[in-house]
Parts: sequence; structure tokens; C-alpha cells
Amino acid sequence: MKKNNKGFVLVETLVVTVFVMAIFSVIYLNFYPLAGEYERREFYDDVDSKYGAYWMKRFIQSSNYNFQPLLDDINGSQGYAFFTCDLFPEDSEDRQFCNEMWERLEVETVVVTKYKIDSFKQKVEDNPVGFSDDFVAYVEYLPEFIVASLNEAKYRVLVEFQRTAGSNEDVDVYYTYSNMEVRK
Amino acid sequence: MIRKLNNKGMTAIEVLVTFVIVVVIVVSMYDGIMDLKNRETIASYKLSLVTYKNLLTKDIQDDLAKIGLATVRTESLTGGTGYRVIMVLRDGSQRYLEVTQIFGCAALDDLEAMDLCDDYGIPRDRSDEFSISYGPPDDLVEYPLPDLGHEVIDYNGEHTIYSLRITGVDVSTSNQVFSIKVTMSHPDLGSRYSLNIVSPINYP
Repeated sequence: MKKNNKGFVLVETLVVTVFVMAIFSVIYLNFYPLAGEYERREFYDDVDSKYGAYWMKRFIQSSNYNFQPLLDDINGSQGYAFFTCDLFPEDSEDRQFCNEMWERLEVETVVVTKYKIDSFKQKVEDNPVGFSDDFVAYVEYLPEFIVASLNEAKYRVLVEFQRTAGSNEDVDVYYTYSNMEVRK
Repeated sequence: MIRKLNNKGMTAIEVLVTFVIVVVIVVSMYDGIMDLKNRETIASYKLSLVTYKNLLTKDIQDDLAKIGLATVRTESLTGGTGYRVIMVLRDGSQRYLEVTQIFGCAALDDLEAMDLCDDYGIPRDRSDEFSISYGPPDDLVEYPLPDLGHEVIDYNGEHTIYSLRITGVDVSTSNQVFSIKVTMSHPDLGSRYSLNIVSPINYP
């Protein structure tokens, strides 16, 4: 029997090379967005934002804070409420602390929801008006917190911070996010 | 039986074309690989800096959030080498936060030395020295900045300039809120990962 000892010709080698390069290109194009997503998540629940959210939670939990208007929104059709320092008594020390901390912590938005955020996630997905794209992405990233809180918390606070870094000529503005349970 | 072997081999033109293809592929991949290598280095720097910042922030904020801040004052370190923030907590204990900020001379020649060092009173042979210390006055723990690259300059005496430098310390106690921002700058990472502590003073 006559053996085929011809081996590969150049065209065959080229076809295989192009095929392998095409596979690598597909893998790279699928991997690259994942790397971007990972980089974006470094701004979720970072240490500064976590302590910032902690202070917002402390203000909400304060006995001097009038939580009822927020509660009406949370339990009403809206399903969530925007926290504001104005619900502390006028000219009170609490309101001054709250306003000053809001400014120093570079807080942009504070949203109070129920502890489990499954319905809030759905609302934000259906109607993201009033929220930035980055905030919506953070809400999508969060779990639903289906398991009840060990601390018997009923509410959750989600905070958006507008950070600035760099010098005057090259200001770097970016947003960070954090959340924390609230006992009220 | 005599078996006939295939001894044809490759022609010179085939070898040449193969060689050219290999060279083109390697050259096209070189930039990408170097870019990945660079990104890996920056990612490891970022991890070191974020870990450093997280540890320090947690140690300070744990005291401020759990015990609470009663009073705070700031003074300069001996010789103007940095700042000391003296915090009195609500349980009466004290915490010191010391930031050492000594700039070395990064100049490589006489012309640069006049602009970068002489005008600011920096000796031409001085090395960078940056560190942060925190803790009770009798048990101050030093947190040396991570080495995210450095350059040994052999001009006017051998000295070291670090890539990560403390470029600013801003302290405020206005309106009953204490804040300190220790700006840590790196050529590749910018100043996003600076130490940033905010706490109300005497919050009930």
C-alpha cells in the first residue's frame, strides 16, 4: 500500500493559523467586557463608602429623625424613599451634623428601601428615572437579600457618593456605592 | 523490500514564508503582551495600596465609629516633618495619627535640582520618607507605605525616590465634623486611593 507522505501544504497551515487566531479573538472579545465589569466593581462597597453608609444609617436610626414620610413612600406605591436631612427638627444639632457629614462624605443620593430589595430591583429596572446609570448598575449587581436579617433590620439604605481626586488641572470625578441594613 | 523515503523536505521559499508569518505573529502579539504585563504590574500595585488603605481606615474608623470622637487637635511634628492629629475619644482614651512627609530630591542634574529641590529647601542628597502611624500614644503602630516602585538616584549622593508619595494632608474640624485626607499619589494610580476619614465630633 502506498503511503501518503506529503504532509501539510502552506495553504493548509495558513487556514489552521487563521482558524486558531479567530478562536483567540472570540475568546478575547468575550473576556474583555468581564475585565471591565470587574474594574467597575472596585467602586462597590469600598471601605470609605461602607463607613459613609454607616453614618447615613446612624442618622436614619436617630430617634430625632422623622421617619414617617419615608415610611409612607416605602410602603406606598413608590416602594422606596429618598433620605434627606431636612426631616430632622429645624435648627437641631442633628440636622447640622447630618448636613455637614453629607457634604464632607461627598454623598450624592441616599435611598431607603425595605430590607429585601427584590421589588426595588424590579422597580428600578422597569423605571430607572431619577437614578443614574451607574446607580442602576449597582442595584442590578446587588443580591435580593431574601434571607431575613440576623439583626432584625427591616430596611436598607443605598448610598451613592460622588468622589473627586486629582489636582485642580486634572480633576478625576467618579462614583462609589454602598449599602447597609437599617434597624428602625 | 526497499522502502522509498520522502526526502523532499521544504523548499527555501516555504521556510522563508513560514519564518515571515512567525515574525509577523510575534511582532503583532508583542505590544499586547507588554500591555498585559504592564496591567498586571499596575493591578498588583493597586491591590497593595487598597489593602494598605483598608487596614489603616478600618483601624481608625473602628475607634471613631464604635467609641466616638470627643475632641481633636492638630500639631506639627518636630522639624516640620509632618503632622500629628491628637484625638480624644468619648471614653477618655487618646489616639495619635501621625503623618510623616519628607520629600527627597528627585532631580537628575543641576538644572532640575535648582527647580525641584533648592527652591523648596530640599537637600540634594535627601531620600523620600513617608509613613503613617496610628494608635494610643504609648503604643503607636507605624504603617509604612507600600513600595510601589522606586528609583535610586546616584546624583549628589545615592538616595531613593518612591513612586508612591504623600502629596497632601488636609485636616478640618469645622462645624463639629473632623475630616482628614492624606493624599497618596502614584504616577499610574493617581490619587484615588488616598486615606479619607470623616467623623462627627461629640455626636450623641
